[in-house]
Amino acid sequence: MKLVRQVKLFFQEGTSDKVYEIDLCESGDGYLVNFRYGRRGASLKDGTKTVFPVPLAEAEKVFQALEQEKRKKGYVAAGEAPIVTTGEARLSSSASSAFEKRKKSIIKLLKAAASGEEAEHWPLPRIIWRAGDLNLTEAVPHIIKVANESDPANIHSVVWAIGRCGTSDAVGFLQNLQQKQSIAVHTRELVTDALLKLSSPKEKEVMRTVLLATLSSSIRESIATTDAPRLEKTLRELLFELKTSSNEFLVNVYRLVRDDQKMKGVLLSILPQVPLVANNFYAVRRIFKAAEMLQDHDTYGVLAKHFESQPASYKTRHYMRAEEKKKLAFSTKTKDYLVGRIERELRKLGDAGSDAYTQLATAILLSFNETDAKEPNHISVYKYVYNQSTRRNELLETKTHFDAFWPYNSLNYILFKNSKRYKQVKRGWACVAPYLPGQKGPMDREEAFPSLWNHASTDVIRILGASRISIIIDFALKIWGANADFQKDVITEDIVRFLQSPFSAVQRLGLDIAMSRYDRSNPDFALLLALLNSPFDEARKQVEIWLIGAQREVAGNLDFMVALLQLERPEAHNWLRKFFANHSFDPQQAEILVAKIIASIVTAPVVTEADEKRIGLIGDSLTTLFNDVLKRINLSIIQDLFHHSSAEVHGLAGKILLAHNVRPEELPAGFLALMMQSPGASTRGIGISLLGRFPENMLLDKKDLLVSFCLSPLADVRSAVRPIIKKLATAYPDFGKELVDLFVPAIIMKETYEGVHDDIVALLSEELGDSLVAIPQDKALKLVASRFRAPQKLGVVLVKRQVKFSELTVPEVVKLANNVSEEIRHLAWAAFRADTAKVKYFVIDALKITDSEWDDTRLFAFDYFRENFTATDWTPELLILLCDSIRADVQDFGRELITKFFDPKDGTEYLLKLSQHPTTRVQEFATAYLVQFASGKADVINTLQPYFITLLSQVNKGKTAKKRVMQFLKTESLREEAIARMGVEIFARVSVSVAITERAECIAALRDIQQKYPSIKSPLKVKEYSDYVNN
Amino acid sequence: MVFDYKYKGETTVTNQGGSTTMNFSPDTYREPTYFSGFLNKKLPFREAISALHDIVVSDFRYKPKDKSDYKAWAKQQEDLWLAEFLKSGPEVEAKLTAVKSQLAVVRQKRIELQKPFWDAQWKYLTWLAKTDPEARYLFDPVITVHPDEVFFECFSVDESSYGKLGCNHNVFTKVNEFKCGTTNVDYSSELYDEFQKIRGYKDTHLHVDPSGFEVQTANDESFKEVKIDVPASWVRGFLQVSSAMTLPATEFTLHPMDVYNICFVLRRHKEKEGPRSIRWVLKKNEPVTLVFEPWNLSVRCGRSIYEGESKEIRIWGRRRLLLLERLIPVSNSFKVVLLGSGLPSFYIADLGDMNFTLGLSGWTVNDWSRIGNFDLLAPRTQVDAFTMQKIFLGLRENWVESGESLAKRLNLDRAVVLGALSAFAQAGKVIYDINAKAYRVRELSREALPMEELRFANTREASATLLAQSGQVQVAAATRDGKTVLTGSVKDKTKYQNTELVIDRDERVVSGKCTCNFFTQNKLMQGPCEHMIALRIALREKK
Repeated sequence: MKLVRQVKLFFQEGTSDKVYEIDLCESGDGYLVNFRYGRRGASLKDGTKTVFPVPLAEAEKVFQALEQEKRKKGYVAAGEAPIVTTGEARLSSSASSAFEKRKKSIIKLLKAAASGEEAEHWPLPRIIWRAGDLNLTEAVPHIIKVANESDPANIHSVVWAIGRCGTSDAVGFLQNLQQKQSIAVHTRELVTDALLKLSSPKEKEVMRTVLLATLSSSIRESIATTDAPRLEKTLRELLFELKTSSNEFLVNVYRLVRDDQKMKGVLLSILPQVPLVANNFYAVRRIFKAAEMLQDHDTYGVLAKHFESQPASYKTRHYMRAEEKKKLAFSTKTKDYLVGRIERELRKLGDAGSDAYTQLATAILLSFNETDAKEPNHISVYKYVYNQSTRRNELLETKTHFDAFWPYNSLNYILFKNSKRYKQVKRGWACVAPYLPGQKGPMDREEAFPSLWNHASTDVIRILGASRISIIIDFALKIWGANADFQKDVITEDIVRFLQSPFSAVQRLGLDIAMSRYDRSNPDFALLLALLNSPFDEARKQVEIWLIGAQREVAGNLDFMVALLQLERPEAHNWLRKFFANHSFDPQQAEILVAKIIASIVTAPVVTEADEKRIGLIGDSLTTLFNDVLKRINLSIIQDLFHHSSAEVHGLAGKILLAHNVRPEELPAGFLALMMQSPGASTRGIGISLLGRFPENMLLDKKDLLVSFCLSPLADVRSAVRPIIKKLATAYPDFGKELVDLFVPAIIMKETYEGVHDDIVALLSEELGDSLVAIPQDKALKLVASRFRAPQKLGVVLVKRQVKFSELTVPEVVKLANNVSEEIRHLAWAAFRADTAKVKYFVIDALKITDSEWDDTRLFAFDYFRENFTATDWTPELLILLCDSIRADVQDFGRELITKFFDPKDGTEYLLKLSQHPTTRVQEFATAYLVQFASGKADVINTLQPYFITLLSQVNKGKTAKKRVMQFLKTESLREEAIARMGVEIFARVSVSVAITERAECIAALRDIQQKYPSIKSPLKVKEYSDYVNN
Repeated sequence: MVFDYKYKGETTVTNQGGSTTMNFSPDTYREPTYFSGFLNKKLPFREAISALHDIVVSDFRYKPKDKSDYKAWAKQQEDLWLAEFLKSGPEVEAKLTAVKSQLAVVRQKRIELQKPFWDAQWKYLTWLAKTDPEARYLFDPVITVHPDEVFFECFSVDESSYGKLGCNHNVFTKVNEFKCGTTNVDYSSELYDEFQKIRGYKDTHLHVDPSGFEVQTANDESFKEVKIDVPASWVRGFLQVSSAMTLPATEFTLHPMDVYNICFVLRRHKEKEGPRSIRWVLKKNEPVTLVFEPWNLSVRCGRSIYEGESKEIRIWGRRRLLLLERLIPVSNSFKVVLLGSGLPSFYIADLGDMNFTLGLSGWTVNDWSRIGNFDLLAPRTQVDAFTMQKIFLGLRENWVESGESLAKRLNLDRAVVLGALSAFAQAGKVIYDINAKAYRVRELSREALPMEELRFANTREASATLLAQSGQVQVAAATRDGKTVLTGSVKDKTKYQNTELVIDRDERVVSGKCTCNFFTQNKLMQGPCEHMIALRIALREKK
């Protein structure tokens, strides 16, 4: 077989990229025409047009015909310009005729199957499914005929096809089917869904009642009353808080709400948050299947995104048991399948040229938002490549980059199927070099099925108005740019949405359309509002140009004014206030306007933060523009505002009340209490400042109220009430005293709320300062000595204000000198300095100041005594008292004074008393007096016995003292026998020591004593060694 | 374990020029107990009560040094060192010196600037720690008034030392009416400071406030309610030590200077490695000898002749003996009571009319490495509840009585009485006075202590005891690298676990192995498994 001629044709459109090769071959004595076709790059399928060799002429003819046919379909040879097939042309000619042909052949095949001839190349269930796929309503009667309940695939396809494109004629068949228990559950579920779609309204109502009965009462009621917020609350509670174990009720909820956009919106807002775990997944998948069948694009889109964005929860392993897998859901396999199915659905719809493609694609695109963007990233593959020139293996890094939305297959498919910068890889959608994430995209269109988008003006407008993702907006703008006629399909609501978009190009688009639509003589107010409320400043400028000088007309339009005042943006309100700055409103109209706005505020609940902001803006605009009206407004209206649950509304009411003509004391009873209960701090502040405007005599009656404000848990209330208290306390001293009596015990008790004590102390010391005289002096001293901060702080204030230090006793002053507060300590020092005579008189008490915990006070005391006390003032008793202190610095001070004012006649007393000191330092100090004052005095030495033992028992310290004592004892023992007895006792005791020096000295002393007084018993046994001669 | 106290006012010590009054504030929740008298033996009392204070605040547990400052400095310095090391030419060197000198100036400046701040902060924190009314961690000592004695008891923060100061009534003069009983007293560190001011020439009045129960209003602000959360291990340690007193033991007497010598060796030497023990070498009719390991320094107590059977006993946690230092000059002799190696030991100082008992648990740190070494809270004799009640009430009639005389008086078997009394000692209701060789009523807490919770530190210890007692343990001991290696198998339910335990020369568990699940999961992170403990208990029983 020899190839004579060959032609290679290519076809590219949307996602399809096909090859068709035709060969003309010489075979023996004839010629053959063979062909191969398939996807470019993939293995091609082949066939032949000539079963047997034919003569060349005939073969040529067949060859030509085939090439022509393919070229007609849009195939071109390599290098040739592709035939630009506009969608219409294609649909009208080739595609639509192909569709017709396909339809015919399907119906033909179904008819044949009904008469018992099953097509061999195409299984019947697939044919039925395909009929549904292509929405072939006329095929339904035939489908019903070929239905076979015993074949699960068949009956499922039948139901699915009827659900997709059936009519009410099929209801009977379906109802019949519903009764049969033999068919599979998932098929029966589809039957229910199909029936709900096709039944008559009356039957539908019956079915709804049955379905409602299966739901819990709370959901049932909220669906029955179409109460969307309640449904949302209930569902969230069930799914995310209670985490119900079986969530199949979701399927019925979907069935019941899918015809109501608002209720369905609730379900669609919740579905993306439902975790894909075993107890939920079954229901979610069922909803997905039903949405697919019913072509409910919104639900399908939301779930498609949900499936793509959720990681699979496990990977199936061959060793997993069935019951184990039952507890799990959404495996990698399931995820891959679902993602593939979504792509296939898109492709099928696109291939069929159906409008449903753009609708579905729009739904999917709109289900994504900015938060779905990932960090652009890359994967590196390293490879060693042998370099001939360097004779080395070099590391080669290949980076594959992934852009922000790389994991989302459907999104990328829709936006970039024909893109040169992205390609589908196993992981997701990768960037194709040289494109890198963050670079600017090309100007030409990259989406799949561009021709379909060229006819989908509604979808493109919807995307432009609603999407918040820049790549989607870019895509939509490209389509918009290529189709100038889209603009005619834009309605006012779309312009409003365009103007609210965060993308300046879309805003600009909105403004341009608005400008082209605007009619000065008959302005579209909705459009004006949208322009004013846009983030786009130019839009407002444009409105200004249009409305200049038209204040009167605008003010005259009541509804428009109401809408204007309720705009959300601060810029819009600023504009509004500026616009009407010099305009005086007609009082009657203004009154109606204000009433209307307040009515709308009172009735509308404040839920979101945006609402709160809006209320604030409305309040400001009202008070700026309609001050006159607000002055005279009925108080009951304000009261209504205060009854509202939101703090913002209370703030608004407070503002109005401040502007109002009414005198505070004339406010109805309970008005202030209402304000103080508000959760808003500003409202409470306004309430208190209103209270402050009361005449004083009336305020006195409200003492309880004022006290409760002072002790309020809210810091702003406490601080706001202080000026009032000050005013009253100045005018009525008795009132101040009463408050002091109330508050002083309050700070001694445990603090109820953080900061209350501090505020009360501040109040007492500042605003009520003059009333503090009521507190007696001893109470003040008690307070200042408190261990707790608040009473202590108050004590400081009191002591500073009213305690006369000259009247205090010395111990009291000493105690104050040890106070935590530095000021008080300084005052105490001053008292010491002021009355030295008194200090000298109560010197024993006064000396205790040296025991203060505060270094500064001790230093003061040392200086003070050094300066003011002379030798005559000091007695040994006092000096020993100083040394008896436990503080080293005081002991040192005492020792310094003893040394300074030492009188030998007191020596023995010092020795005896200081020897009892527990501190080694002082004990050692006392050893200095030993020789002088104890030598030769047997009675003194006897009383000092414990002292000697103590000194000699100091472990590893007091070397000097020990030496002194031993020397002294030895000398004295040798002097007098009575002392020697005691000395032997002590030396015998200490001689046990393992410290060699001590031991040696003891032994030497014992030896000497024994030599002198052999009669005294001692443990020492003297051995004479002749070898050791004294030398 | 939460203990609630309620004191009326605070314990105060008032020093007038020539006299001191100590007003102890007792727990008003307890049965009223009061005592009032003037001190007779002032200086010995001062020293003894100071020693008791030392025990209350003592914490001999190892505290690792905080080296974070040094490490931060070293890290900063590293760059410099590196630069110095890498310096290549004179040019660089000159640059380096310039930068270094600049840096030094800057740092010095920084130190100068920050110093007042740091000083002030340190001062403030010290002050705060002292004055913060919430920062209490001491378990208030217990005062017990008995017809013949008033005694103070305390237990240290580190849960290892017990102190008791008993004063017979000769210590006091002018004793007023008193009421026997036990109560907690409010205690603070200022009190210790005031004790130091006791002098022979000042009258000192000790006063356990009898007005404690004469209170009518509950809202009196001078009431101080204290809730102390005492760790269960603390209470267990206390009970273990006091129950150890009832066990038969080796006794001998030391000269005060022998204790001086012990303290001397400990002050002069610092151990850096184990074993950190004192070996008492006791030979019949020979002087008591101590060997300090690891230096093998021996101290011969020439004037203390041992009269019992020859033996050698090792004790650990010897640094705690420094608590006796203040008692050396005022004591006549020290009685040493040793229960055995690694078991509690007692040192009773004879101060004439006072006696001071220092009880030490086996080790300073009672962590898991010692678990299962001994079980002092094991029930010894089973006595029925009625007899128990009878014996307790019998003892309460006289407050203090020896086991024999109580048995005679109540007409009960001596063994039964002793068994019941030791059970009471374990429960903290009675103590054995080693000095007087008699039992004394002393209820540690107002409510009965939960003995089931206290006996074991954890469930593993409990089940290990059960395993060892039911004879499911086979154990063999060998020595490897100077360490004892216990190997054996423990039958737990149906399975045999192969267990190995290595004990060092300080009787600590240093490593171990077991085939059980607990060990596989936790290794020794949460302490030894029940099988290891059982092995150790079995070895103890075997010995």
